[in-house]
Amino acid sequence: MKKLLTTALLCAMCIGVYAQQKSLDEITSFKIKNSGTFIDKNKDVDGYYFYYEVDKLKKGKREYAIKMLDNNLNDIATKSYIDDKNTILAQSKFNNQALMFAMVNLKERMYKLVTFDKSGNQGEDIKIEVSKKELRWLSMMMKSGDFNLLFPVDDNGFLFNYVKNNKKLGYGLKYVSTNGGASWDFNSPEDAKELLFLNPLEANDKVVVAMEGSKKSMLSQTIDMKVVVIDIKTGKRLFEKDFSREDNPRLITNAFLTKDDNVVLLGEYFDKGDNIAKDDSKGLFAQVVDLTGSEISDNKVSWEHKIDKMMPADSDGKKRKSTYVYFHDIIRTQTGSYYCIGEKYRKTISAGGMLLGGNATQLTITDAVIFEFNNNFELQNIKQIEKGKSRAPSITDFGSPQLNAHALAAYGAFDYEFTQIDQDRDRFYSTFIDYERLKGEKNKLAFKAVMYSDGELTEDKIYLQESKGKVSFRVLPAKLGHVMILEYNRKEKTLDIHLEKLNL
Amino acid sequence: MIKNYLLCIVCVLISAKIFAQQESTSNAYLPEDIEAVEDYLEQINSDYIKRIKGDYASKVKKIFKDRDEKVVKSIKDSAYIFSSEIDGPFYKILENVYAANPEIDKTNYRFFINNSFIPNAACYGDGMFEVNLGLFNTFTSDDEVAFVICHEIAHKLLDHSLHHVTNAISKINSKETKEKVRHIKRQKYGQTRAALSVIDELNIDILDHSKEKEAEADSLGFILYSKTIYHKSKAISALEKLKVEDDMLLNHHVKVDSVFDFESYPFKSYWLKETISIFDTEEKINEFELSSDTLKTHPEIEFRVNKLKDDFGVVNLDVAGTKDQMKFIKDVSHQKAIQSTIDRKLLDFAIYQLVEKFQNNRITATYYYHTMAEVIKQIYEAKRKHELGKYVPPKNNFSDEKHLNVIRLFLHNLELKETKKMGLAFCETHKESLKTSDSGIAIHEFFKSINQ
Repeated sequence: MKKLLTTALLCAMCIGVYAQQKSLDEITSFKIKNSGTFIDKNKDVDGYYFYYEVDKLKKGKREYAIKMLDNNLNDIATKSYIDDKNTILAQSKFNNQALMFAMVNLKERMYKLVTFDKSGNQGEDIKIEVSKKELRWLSMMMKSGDFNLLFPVDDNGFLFNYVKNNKKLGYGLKYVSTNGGASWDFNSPEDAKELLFLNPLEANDKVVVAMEGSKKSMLSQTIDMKVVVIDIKTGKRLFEKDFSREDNPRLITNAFLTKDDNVVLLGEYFDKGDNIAKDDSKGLFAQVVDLTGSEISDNKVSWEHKIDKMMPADSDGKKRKSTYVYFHDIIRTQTGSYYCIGEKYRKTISAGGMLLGGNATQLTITDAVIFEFNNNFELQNIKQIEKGKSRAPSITDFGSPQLNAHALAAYGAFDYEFTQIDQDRDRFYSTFIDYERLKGEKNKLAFKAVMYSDGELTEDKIYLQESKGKVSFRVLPAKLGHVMILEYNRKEKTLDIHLEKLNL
Repeated sequence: MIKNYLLCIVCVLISAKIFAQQESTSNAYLPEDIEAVEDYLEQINSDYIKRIKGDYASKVKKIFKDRDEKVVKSIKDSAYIFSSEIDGPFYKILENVYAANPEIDKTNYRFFINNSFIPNAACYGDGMFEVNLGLFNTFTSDDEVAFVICHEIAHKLLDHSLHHVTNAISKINSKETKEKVRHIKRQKYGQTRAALSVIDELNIDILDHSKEKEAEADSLGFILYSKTIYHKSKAISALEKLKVEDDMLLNHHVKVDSVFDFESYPFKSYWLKETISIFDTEEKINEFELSSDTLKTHPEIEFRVNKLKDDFGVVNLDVAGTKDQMKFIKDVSHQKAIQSTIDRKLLDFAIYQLVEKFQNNRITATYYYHTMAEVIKQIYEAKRKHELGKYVPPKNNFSDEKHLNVIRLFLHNLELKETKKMGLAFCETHKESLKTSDSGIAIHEFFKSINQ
């Protein structure tokens, strides 16, 4: 996506003059460094940015241009930004009050948090020193795909989450207020004996809910989970909930803050002593705790006693014991019901892998499933969305299917794309890519959306190829309820970008 | 050309947009003999290029050559309309201009009618001219059209197109500019900013030149015009109407919340709900903007009107003017302009024009109901195929087209299921009118069937 968008915007950034003169054009063409979206935790895209290098300045400085588009793809601002050469724009977010860019200055080894207010004025930069090793780890964490470097807290501020090189690797969480409140740091203990990492899951004007993971060493396959709840006004830890392997292993995937200030934690539960990365989960859970950490409820739904009985057969009509579900997201609607979005998968033999001397096993990914729970977390229904099979070679033949699924999910091997949540209208849109095998027709790649609105689930579909392969499409997240469609015409070498509403 | 004689250059820089054609109307957008038109354009272009001599001739020739290819492409892409209902009366006005000015060698002249609803005209230099459909909707008399024709012919007689391109190429390739570029290339730091500054200077220089030429075309154009049968004061009236259009273009308040409010399906306030924007500024922020970006290519119309009055003693009299040909053109031009936006799937413009022309009594109620029903059907189809955004851009906070923006916001907020309900509500409300034609009945049936 980024490359295609870059191509489109490069043209726009070449200053249009009557000059056919190559040299002037060459000098004034800005060089693209990277691009991205202002996307929030609900996958709502507030806008797009493009980062260009413009000019070489004295003392190793460079002039950069940050071009910003609004969520309608309208060009709204091009700001000049001066920093050292090799300064990278790592991520950017919008919190309804300000824009924050996380810059990484490789020469001075520091992070720089650059903010622009709603009038486009640049605020005072915030600098955080960083070591080479920390940068390397941060890059790895970001590549894993599940790491929030910048987390916007709507109408309040931003959380900047980074790696700290303590005795062992730890974390730093910096909160920058944009509404006049206090800013603070919440760091892992410097003398911690385990590797610690943190990922903010949810935040509002009162608290930050983050998941803290710990491992004995980088190679260890045992991860202990802990949920940490922090006071957003002071940065003090209010409480933590331990979900360690020994006592109560749980895989926390989502957290929500309710209107009455309770924290809802969602994910999969395991037997005591189980490894959440390798072992079969025993079911799904929803735990509600108040802001003192007291447990209000802890509802569990087991695979064995409930889910397996309600699980529809695979689309080929077979019910397999070896079929698992990988959950990508859990959504809580305004009525209090829950929807878990997942895909079925199983470990199968890979004939190609055996022949070519690679891994002999693979994951076969099949139908998408949406579990519906009521507000007491009782399973109501499982909706199955038929999807063609796709296969991903196992990372290792010896690991469990779950371990492979976790690793492959990070590589984007599943067909799941994203889930967008519209809290105002109590809707969500879960999207997948499907390779449709059609009888009597050429197989087609399709972008499928399953939408929840007014208590009902409906589907929409966009085919990703037409005109005998002359035009290919990509579908990307956009503003709420919309997708961005990129149409590339190979023959005419044209790129058409437009926003479309998903059809309910 | 009245407002945009830089078009010859801009055409080179801006790639033409491809619009889908509807089979039923495709003939209207192509000449009967496309090959003959291509041959004509190639011939006049080639004759013109042969005449180009002097410094930088090869560069200038290339610009004109490329432009010819773009023109042919835009004809094939339906940017022009070929209609005897408009061409016939228009050519009668043109003949009157030629008759009054027998010294004009019109051998290679040909006027094309562009689909654009913006009131404008253009001279390409080699003998090709174009007049936008929008001009006929703005003007009321043959006299005003005749003045625009004279202005464009003046550009041709004064060879402004070639002067303009040659001037631009000469300035860009001048020793002075080359020295500046060499100096910039030797600079270790700040090359881009320095080069942008050179471009800015060049642009300002080139734009100043354009303004001079525009005033020259007004003067010679008026001399040609004053020999015709048309009333001199209508030259002033033509310019003043263009000024009003310039200020008021797309300024009709289309109240979508009442146009699309039906008893059986009331308008929903969230159809006009806006999303939060990253910035609250009223203007685009651009810290790399050139000062020439904000300059106008043409002198203010007020200045041009005063110059005509001062130089020729022409006064603005309240005369009706001749309507011999415009009465025929007017009968069809509004509908042609609307149909053209529908055929190009510019559905936001189609709604704007339909409402504006209906409320200003320029189209009949029957035409309005039938065409609006067709537009709603096309909106439904475009949404169903996920391609509305290809033809209707989203709202842009910085756009001057405030009323068009509201239509765009509405169209993009509307959901597919809401569009089908709205379509049925519209058809039910105006069913008596729709009954009068097969197409009206078919659209009503279509909305009934998808709402079952």
